[in-house]
Amino acid sequence: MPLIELKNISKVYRLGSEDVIALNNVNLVIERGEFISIIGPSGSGKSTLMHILGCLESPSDGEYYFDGINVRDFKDAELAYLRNRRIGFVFQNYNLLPQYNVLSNVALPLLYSGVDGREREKRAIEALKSANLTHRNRHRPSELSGGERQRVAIARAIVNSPDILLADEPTGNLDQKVGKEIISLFQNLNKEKGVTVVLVTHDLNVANVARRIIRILDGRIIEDKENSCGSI
Amino acid sequence: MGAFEFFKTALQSALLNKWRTFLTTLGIVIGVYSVVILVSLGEGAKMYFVDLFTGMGSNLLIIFPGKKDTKGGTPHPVINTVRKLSLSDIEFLKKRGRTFDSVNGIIMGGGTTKYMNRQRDLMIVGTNETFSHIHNIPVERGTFISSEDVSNRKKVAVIGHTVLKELFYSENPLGKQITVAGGRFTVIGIMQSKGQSLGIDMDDIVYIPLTVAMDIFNQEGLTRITVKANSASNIEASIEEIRDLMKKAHNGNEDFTIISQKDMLTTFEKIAATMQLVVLGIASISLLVGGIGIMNIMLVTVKEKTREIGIRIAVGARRIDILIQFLIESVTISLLGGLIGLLLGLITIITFNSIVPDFQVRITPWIFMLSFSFSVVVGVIFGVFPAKRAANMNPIDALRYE
Ligand SMILES: Nc1ncnc2c1ncn2[C@@H]1O[C@H](COP(=O)(O)OP(=O)(O)OP(=O)(O)O)[C@@H](O)[C@H]1O
Ligand SMILES: [Mg+2]
Repeated sequence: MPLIELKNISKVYRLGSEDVIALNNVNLVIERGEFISIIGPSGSGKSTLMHILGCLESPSDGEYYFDGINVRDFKDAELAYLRNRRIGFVFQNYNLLPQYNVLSNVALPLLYSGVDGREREKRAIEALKSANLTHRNRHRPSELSGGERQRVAIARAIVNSPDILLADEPTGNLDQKVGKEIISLFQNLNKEKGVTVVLVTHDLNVANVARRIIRILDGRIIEDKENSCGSI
Repeated sequence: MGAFEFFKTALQSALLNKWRTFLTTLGIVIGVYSVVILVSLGEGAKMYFVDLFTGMGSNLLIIFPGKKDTKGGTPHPVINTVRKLSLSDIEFLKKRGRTFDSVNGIIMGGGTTKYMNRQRDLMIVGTNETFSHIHNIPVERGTFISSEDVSNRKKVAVIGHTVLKELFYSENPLGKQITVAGGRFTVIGIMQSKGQSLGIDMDDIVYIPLTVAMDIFNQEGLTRITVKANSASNIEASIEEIRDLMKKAHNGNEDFTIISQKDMLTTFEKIAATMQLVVLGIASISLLVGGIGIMNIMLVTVKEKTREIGIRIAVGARRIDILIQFLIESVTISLLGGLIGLLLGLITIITFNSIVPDFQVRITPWIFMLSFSFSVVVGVIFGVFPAKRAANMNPIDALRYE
């Protein structure tokens, strides 16, 4: 059974009297342990696809099976459970809470898993270690560099040991060198922890690390190919 | 998320904008402050009056001349068409009464009292031998007016403590001659100090025999007759008996009014209850205003935290978690205001009580409960709308919010 299966997924936004079709009949199967890149021009529907995969938005049409279960009839609490335990989301602009320090930011998902304070701290420190960010625990996000912030965001995404990491242009705000470090962090997590990774990017060099590359145009998957140069 | 985490988050958020939070709480501060002050004042007044009435003596029934239909309050002054209360009424009640033991008549007037070259304008009370017993004011030295003094129209006087102090200084007044409203009287007793009662200095009074007072003031009617019932359970029976007897004495006319202490207390309690209702009304308005202030600031907070809400949902918060987070924040702000209001109220009351020892404002335990529940209720009621707005946000829109 694949980890994720999308069947005929469409997403239509209503803008005034006009319909914007962000996703059009998307079919996609993601197996456990895969490392997938998604590329496509601006406005092609990459983020929309990621939001649907991340249970942050519901599709207008089609079926979404997570681990074999159709999530269409899921209630808010069940969707929240998926987001909390089984999916880790990494954003382009980090989305950290400015008033919390690094440790509290990383531990945030655990607040909603009912984990007690001591255990939260322990797991947050572990996650930060996996994200290669130590000695910054008491800093606020505003005191960190972009690369460090993204490491915090990644630590937060993996703190609950999810099955899948969804990263929407995680290197979009970073320079090339730091971007590379972040990508190799995803590669490590995929290799060593077996976390499935889906990564949206504009950068073909970044996309090329993946063994599987999906190309999107106008809300459709126009190409879904094995990438022989991919290291993963 | 545990309760502790919710409160921590709420407090952190409230303290992030200290001034804003403080200004927002002002409405609640003022609301709870006025509730605390006014309710305590009401309780104090209640206690004051209860003390006063029980201090007057117990199981008392007071007969006033003239008929008044409603119970309680002060009756009309003597009207010519009604028959006055007379000495023979007292005698009749004394002779025939079964359910009461003491009957006391009073005439009140003002006049100048002199001793040597010192003089004083004060209240003169003409009464008979039962006064001291009925009103629970014992004689400290000497004796009170006797029934013989009354029937023989003897010119004797019993003085209060203020009179003693002002006219005699440290001299022993017993047996001394004083002038009361033009007549010469011999001092035969000193009353125990009683202090203020119903706005009258009970120690600044000269008591003289009832008959003598009627002559001096040239009055046939008594100000009132007071009867002490045998027992508290017999009050109703006593009222009936007095009514019957008085009607007999007055040719079958009910041209008098009987008031019991209970009537007076009931009247007072009604007034107090109405006052407290008015007070609670005023307090509710300020709490309403305070609540609207909280709702306003919570709407602002929710808007400011749009991204935070999106982030929390993205990492696994349920909508109910978001709802509770903001509800607790509004309750925290409201409770903070309530606490400040309560503290200010307590400080005011304690200060007042130490400045005015004669009238003690009462701090009742339920003031604490009242402030607490008021704050929580206001926080919840006015927090629900902003919290719902937060909980119903679309996470993607929230994350995009600048
Ligand atoms: N909330 C929305 N309301 C209306 N239209 C929307 C909304 N979200 C996305 N769209 C539209 O859906 C289409 C796909 O948007 P999406 O954000 O998925 O593109 P993208 O591939 O992520 O682009 P980019 O590379 O610029 O991030 C766009 O035309 C966009 O305008
Ligand atoms: Mg996008």
